[in-house]
Amino acid sequence: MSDLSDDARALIAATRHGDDPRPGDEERVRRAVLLRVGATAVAGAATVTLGRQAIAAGTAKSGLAWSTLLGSGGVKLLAAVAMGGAVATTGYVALRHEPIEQGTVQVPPRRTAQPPAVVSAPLATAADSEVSLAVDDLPVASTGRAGDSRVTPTAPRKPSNLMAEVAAVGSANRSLRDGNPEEALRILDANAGVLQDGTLQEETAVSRILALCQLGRTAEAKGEAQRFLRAWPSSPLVPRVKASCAFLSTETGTTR
Amino acid sequence: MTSRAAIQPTPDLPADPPLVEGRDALDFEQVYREHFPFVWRNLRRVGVPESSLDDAAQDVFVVVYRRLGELTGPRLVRPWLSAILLRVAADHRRRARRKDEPTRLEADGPGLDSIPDPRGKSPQTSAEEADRLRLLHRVLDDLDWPKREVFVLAELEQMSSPEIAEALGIPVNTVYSRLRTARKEFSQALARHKSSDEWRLR
Repeated sequence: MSDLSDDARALIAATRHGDDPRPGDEERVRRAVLLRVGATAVAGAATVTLGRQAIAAGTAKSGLAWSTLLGSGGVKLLAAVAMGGAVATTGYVALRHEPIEQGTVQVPPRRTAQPPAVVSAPLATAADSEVSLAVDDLPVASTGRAGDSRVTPTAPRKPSNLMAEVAAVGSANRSLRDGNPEEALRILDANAGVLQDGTLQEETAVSRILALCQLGRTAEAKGEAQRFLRAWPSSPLVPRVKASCAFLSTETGTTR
Repeated sequence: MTSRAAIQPTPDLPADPPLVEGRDALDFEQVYREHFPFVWRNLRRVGVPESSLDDAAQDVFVVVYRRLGELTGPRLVRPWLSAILLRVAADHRRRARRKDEPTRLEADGPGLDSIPDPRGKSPQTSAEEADRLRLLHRVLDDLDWPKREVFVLAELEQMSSPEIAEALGIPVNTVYSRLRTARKEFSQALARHKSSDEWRLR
């Protein structure tokens, strides 16, 4: 016996896989999930903390746009990593202020039992009390059209040391926001082994371009930007690259 | 204070147990790879708006990551996952309602993103598939949520009634009765939509 009509059966059979994910969905969501849980874990074990002064500096300067880098899903949590605080899933970042050990970002082991990674980086000093910061208050650059927030679909990658990548890129971007591009470059270079084949290659490349721009090394920035566009022509970060000095006309001061 | 204490659980989801390292009886990556399509397609089928699909899928797997230790064997993964995804879906539907977004499908049916990848198919085949999928969603929209959830898991995912009962936390007999009613209502709604479409095409 069945209460289903033949038409109903036919429709079900024909649409059983109609809602399946499209290519790219799985990897895009996986990256966002790992960033979220990685952010949580980093925040849990991290010795990184950012005080009010640094927050003010970070928001006052037009630093690397986390919302651009991460897309809508990841911004809440990786922003917290960038800030070195604990994470709320409701769109707000609760920043903790605890005594820190200056000079290292310690990353807890991945769940795949890899050894903890240590990223050398100077850190902001802890400030006084806990504050909350709306994600919307984070520095944001032009993101192009709204749909661009999705990360470019890529072929599935092998599991990577994502938390070490998050910590390294986050430290580099903090340095950028703090007006210290030399330090940002140093961090990226020091962690090249982790970053070069990692999950955050696009984000790393953009950080490097922006650091070179801040240093006035425009020719190198242009070279990096061209490599970026060749490697990831449809990346959601393309607008950010095109807004950098690599595409800024020196004569008119406008982007080409 | 640990960082976890500062993490606010998603509304309507129970607080997560502490993260326990080394407890992965099942590897997260394995569960993710094997079950991502299941989670993705069923979030859509139980009414998560297209615009929230990415976030909802993330929410499901963040919970999965934190709670993997609760699983005692691969046999139980789908009911366990179903329970999580149905709660996450209900939460996203509520949020969508609060934001005054359409809680069900837009009048024109699913957005472009839900149309199957057309590569390798003729435009006509793709259009027909998209039409059928739109019709499925419209008919599902006519079921109330409890019946829709049972129907999706039983008819579209072929899960057994005991598995569904476990996922929903209801008696097996309730699953049977909801499914029986859902099948009738689905068939009737389909007939209604088809006759309405035919009338419009005249």
